[in-house]
Amino acid sequence: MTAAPQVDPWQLERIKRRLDALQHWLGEDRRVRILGTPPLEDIEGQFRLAGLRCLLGALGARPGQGATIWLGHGEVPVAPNLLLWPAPGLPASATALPLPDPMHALWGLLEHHPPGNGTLHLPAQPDWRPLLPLLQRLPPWLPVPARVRRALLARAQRLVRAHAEVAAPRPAGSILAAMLGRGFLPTPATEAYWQQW
Amino acid sequence: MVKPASPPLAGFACLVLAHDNPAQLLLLLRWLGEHGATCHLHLDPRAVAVRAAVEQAALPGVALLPAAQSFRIAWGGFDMVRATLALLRAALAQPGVTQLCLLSGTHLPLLPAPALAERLGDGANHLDLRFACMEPPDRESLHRFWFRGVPGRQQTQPLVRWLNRHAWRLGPRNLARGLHGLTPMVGSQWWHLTAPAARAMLTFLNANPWYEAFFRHARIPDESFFHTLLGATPHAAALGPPMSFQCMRGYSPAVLTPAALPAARASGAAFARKFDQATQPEAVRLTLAAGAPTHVG
Repeated sequence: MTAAPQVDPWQLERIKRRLDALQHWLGEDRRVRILGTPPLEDIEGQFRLAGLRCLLGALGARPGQGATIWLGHGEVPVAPNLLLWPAPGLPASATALPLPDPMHALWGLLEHHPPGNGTLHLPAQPDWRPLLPLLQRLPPWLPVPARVRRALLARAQRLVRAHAEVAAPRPAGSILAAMLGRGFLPTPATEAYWQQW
Repeated sequence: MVKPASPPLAGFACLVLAHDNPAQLLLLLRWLGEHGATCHLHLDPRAVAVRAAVEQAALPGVALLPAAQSFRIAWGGFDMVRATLALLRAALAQPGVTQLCLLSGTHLPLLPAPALAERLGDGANHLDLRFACMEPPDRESLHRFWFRGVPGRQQTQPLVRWLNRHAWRLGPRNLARGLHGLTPMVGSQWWHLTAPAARAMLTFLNANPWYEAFFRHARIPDESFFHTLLGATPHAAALGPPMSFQCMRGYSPAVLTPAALPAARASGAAFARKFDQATQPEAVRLTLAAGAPTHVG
């Protein structure tokens, strides 16, 4: 059996650099509102949120009334300066940001480890509860502190690293695999994403 | 009238860091000068005897950084970067510089000067450049960026070793914020850069003082400062094979013996280290004889 192909690290670097274009959208005061954040069990979405926070921190942005970044969950907000990320069901008035997934901002900040064994099959829906028992133990009504979120992301990384490759139905899963130095089994959705960027 | 041909290393500025072994250092400086390279030399202010030897030799094409502008360098400390930056700025202030090589006083060329000029003059930057996150985690990997480090040789200084082993207790630094989104990169200290790449790096440094501030607390910054910086410029796309060979023994490079020279030549590198005329004179003689004969003592 041949190993799944890996993404060239310099390609990951080039994609990450494209995210720098965000600073042109933020305006002078660099105030940002993040709306439509993913639920806790959507670990790929949590990595996207972590990447976005990294990116905004790197650009010196602060929370406040300014640009709005909507991450695709819940109602589409009514905002004067609406940046959508990604762009499911765009309203005609919305401004879509033509950039790669903000998860790419984490490239270079997550350690690679020697490859493990086997293929990690990510769930068809972005719900990692079957993969991470800790998620099952957290009551949905409980506010989750940042420390617990970080622990969840660390466990998800360990899970991916423990495998040799990842079967990812969504591009976000393939990005996570690539950033941790793992190959992924291509699907039409992931292939389209990597070809685009 | 036929215009005389310019020497093969014309346009090369060699930045040399040294602190001991003046006889070995002078061999390198002579070889470089004979082939048209200019040398910018940094000597540790404590190396009084070496400074005297260099001043007495009065080699043409060698610019020695004054003692008052030199840095007392501790192994793995930020002063190594400061010294390199001082040499880099001095070299780029001179007209006609097209290539820059960072060398130690124990480097010697592995190629004749014309072949060396051809190898390094291909328009690429020749250095060992790697993504820090892809390093094996049992080595430094991202730890050298996450955790503050105390300079000094860990294998011989138990206190330094203890402090660096326990630095994680202070918590990791926020790399995304600290590096303003740049990707941490690492590699061997010794590099060759084209002048446009070096100028782009200095322009970035002059505009972004936070960059130096971040690396003041990184571990062994001479193996990451210039690499992360080059990686953030478009010049990283023009990357050639590393220009320096060394054979590590534990934490330090071994002195090359004649038996090690075939491996050094097979590496394709333009320079190698460490050479020591006092302990391995035959290796020095063979290396220089393969290039162009010079003043071997």
